[in-house]
Amino acid sequence: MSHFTTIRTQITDTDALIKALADVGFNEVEVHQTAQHLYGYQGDQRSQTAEVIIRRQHIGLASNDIGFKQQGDGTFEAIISEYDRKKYSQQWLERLTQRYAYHAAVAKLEEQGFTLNTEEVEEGGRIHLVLRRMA
Amino acid sequence: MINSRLRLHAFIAESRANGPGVRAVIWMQGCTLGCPGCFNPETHSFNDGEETTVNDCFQRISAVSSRIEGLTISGGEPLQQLRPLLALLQRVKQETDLSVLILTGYTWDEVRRMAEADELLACADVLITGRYDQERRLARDLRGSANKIAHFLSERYDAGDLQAVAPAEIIISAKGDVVMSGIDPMRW
Repeated sequence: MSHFTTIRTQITDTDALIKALADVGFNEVEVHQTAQHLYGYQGDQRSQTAEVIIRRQHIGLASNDIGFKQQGDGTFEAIISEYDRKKYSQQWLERLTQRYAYHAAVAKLEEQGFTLNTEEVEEGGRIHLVLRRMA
Repeated sequence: MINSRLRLHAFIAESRANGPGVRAVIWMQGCTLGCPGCFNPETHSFNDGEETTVNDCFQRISAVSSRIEGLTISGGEPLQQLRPLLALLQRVKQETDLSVLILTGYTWDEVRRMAEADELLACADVLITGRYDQERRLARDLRGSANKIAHFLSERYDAGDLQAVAPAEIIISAKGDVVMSGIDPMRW
């Protein structure tokens, strides 16, 4: 039989997250070994901390920092203020997750001896990757 | 109407690693063959998956028929739902130009002994037969193991067409969910 597996993507890999953030327009991203405080739009330090941070100056004048805080199980959870969720909504998070999955997949396929043969964006925005075994 | 209901594990509308060209793929739910090392064990139970109708399956295929070359039936063990599967395949053959490729764990001789064998073989362009044998893992040309045999039942395809099939694909939805498929899939 041919194989079928479906996975709900969880963000765990920092490198793939940084590449995904670049894909959605954020090239200036801080990465810290230990979580650092986020700051609000008035420069006020927030109680929230995160390992991966987009500082507010790269987001917008009235924006707060956006963070990605690593949880006990290794997954990153987005910290986005209520104000910024108007723009960086669930739809934005889904787009980010798709780009994350793409970069995570590309990294894994090379580790497992595959090459990327074709890549297409299909109806509905699906990304379709076809793999071949390395010769 | 037992002949009109199918239990499915999964459906992909447009696959590029489950047969020649772009194909819809149905993974049937339920299998009692118990091949050691089977890599779809979650397809074995007849209580899981989605119960649906032949008509619903046909409509899903029909909706994408202009974008695909054929239909692949995998599992699970498709021939353990033979009567409703036949009803579906007969509609596909009568109402579309799609090719049909079926993967089964039964051997050719076992298939031939089934009462509906002639009807089934009349609906299929390719039938790949035989239990998965993990000691003879092949994972290419749509054959999981080297003992599996591809039977070409029409002029539509030959061995070269199966050799050209990509071993793996990844489909990432707009929400970021990942589907991995193929005869030699990537592991997440």
